[in-house]
Amino acid sequence: MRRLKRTVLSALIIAGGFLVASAAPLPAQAQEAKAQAQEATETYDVRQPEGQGKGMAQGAPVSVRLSENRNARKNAPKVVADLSTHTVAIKTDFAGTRVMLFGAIVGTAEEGKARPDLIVVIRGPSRLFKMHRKKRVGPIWVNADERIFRAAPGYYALLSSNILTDIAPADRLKKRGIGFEALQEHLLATAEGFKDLKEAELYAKAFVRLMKKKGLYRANDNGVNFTGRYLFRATFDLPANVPLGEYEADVYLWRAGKLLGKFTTKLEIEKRGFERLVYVFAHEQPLLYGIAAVIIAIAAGFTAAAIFRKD
Amino acid sequence: MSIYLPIAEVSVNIYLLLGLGGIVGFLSGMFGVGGGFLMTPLLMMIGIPPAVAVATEANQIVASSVSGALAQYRRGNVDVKMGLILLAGGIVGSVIGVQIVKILREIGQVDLVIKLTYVTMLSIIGSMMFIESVNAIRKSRKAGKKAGPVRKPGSHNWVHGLPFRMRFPRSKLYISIIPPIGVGILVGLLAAIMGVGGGFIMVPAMIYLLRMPTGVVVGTSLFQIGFVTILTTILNAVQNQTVDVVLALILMSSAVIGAQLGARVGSRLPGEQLRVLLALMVLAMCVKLAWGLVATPEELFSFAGGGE
Repeated sequence: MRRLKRTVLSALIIAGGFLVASAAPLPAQAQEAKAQAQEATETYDVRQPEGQGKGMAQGAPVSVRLSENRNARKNAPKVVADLSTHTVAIKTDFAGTRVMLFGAIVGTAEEGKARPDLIVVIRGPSRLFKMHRKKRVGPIWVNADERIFRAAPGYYALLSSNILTDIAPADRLKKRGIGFEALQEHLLATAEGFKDLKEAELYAKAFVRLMKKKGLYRANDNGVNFTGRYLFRATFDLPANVPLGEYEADVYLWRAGKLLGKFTTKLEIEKRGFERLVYVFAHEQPLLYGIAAVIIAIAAGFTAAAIFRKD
Repeated sequence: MSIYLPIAEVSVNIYLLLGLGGIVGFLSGMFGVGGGFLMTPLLMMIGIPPAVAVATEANQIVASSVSGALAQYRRGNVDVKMGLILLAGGIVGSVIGVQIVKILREIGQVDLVIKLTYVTMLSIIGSMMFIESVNAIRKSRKAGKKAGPVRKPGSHNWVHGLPFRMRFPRSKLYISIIPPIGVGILVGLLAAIMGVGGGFIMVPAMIYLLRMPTGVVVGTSLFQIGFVTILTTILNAVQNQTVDVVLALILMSSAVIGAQLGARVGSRLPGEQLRVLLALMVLAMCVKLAWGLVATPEELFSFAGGGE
């Protein structure tokens, strides 16, 4: 079963690779793009219509959207990406899964320049978290304090092609909301009921630590791999306890400590089939569900009693 | 093989669940306890959210207690009249208990209260049972091979002096209905707070307080537990949507088989030895829980409502 999945996944990846490859500038196209880019660098013609179209290989089967970075020059390198799947269905045998993000750097000639760096951030749906800290009361440990973070992502994966501090200075990353430092700052901004900042920081650190332990927060500075000069891919694991909802994958393109482009794509994690049926039944018809649960239990009990009656 | 539970929203190894269900079911059949006081903490330990563990466990106990009660009923081991009196108390107790839990949730101390209740109850009942049954074994040995029941005619306690007396022919008792109703209320309360059937409280209470004959104690307690857990399951499904049918079904399928085997083994073993065994089990669980409260935790922080 697992092997089958892996085969399907790798087939997807290969297919995806081809799609991306067709969207990415091939060597011949790259030359053309380079020429165009040079021209553009000189003229700074923002209205130039081909700037977007050519590099993108119009009509490519992958639907790609470019980030709207108004300040960026049209010829600046851009990043496009897609996921191996846009919906993760949670069924009975779900025990976590792996999703691949693949993409390409497009839109300009890259030759002669240092290879850019990539950071991929996958964020799960945000929700309120209540935390407790234990304190000793007499001989026993008691959940003494309760503190709240109003909004924190239920999943956060940080993947990069290099060590973060080598990609850009820490403060710049933080400004863009990338990385665990930025995340902790965000936590502090939504903190509730804290005595002082010091205490809030302590909780924010513990929060990240606990989430990492659950496998819901993860970081890998070798998580984005180039499979050529322009192609890259990144895989991230979604554990079995992954929260449901809408996920956002942001791909950031950096060079020499500057953000060149950003691309966003979405991922939906939802229950399907029998899992969904049970869940919806339990939430929309709770009384009937409860009665059904009791009937099932009684039936199971009677069945067992009947089976064991003979001897 | 892992299975994703739709309400608990976690993925758990199915064989682990089947194994837990079977072992706990076996013990429940053998001792006439619902097994919830073992299963609920075990489910929390393997990562099921506490609220789901408590509610689902109630649902699972429905299966094992109904099949167990039926098996006992066929052997004529259920005092239906006494069972109904206990049930009346149980319904009152569980409705009050649900309210108490609601208030505790609001204060944020529900976990601590659950654990403290466990430790207190288990230590009292466990040591009481242990001492009593060890003494009984000693006495019966001294009295030669005449290993009779502990109950002697005329051994009345304060319970038998109360008003509103009623005749219970099956148990050969003529006692006030106040103590059984009181026991029922207590069990219902604990069922709602601890997510257990309450057999481990009721069985000793029936033996030592009501002085019911040991033979009908197991069947009668299963009878009451069956109905109280039916009520608890429906209340939980309506109020909290925390009953996981898939989890319950897995546990049931192995627990009902375990319960049948347990009942068989239990009827062959002598009662006193059985009670020493149950007492030791209760004490072991108690020590484990108490240690969890006293030992310095590795991680001082935790998420509210999380499994750890």
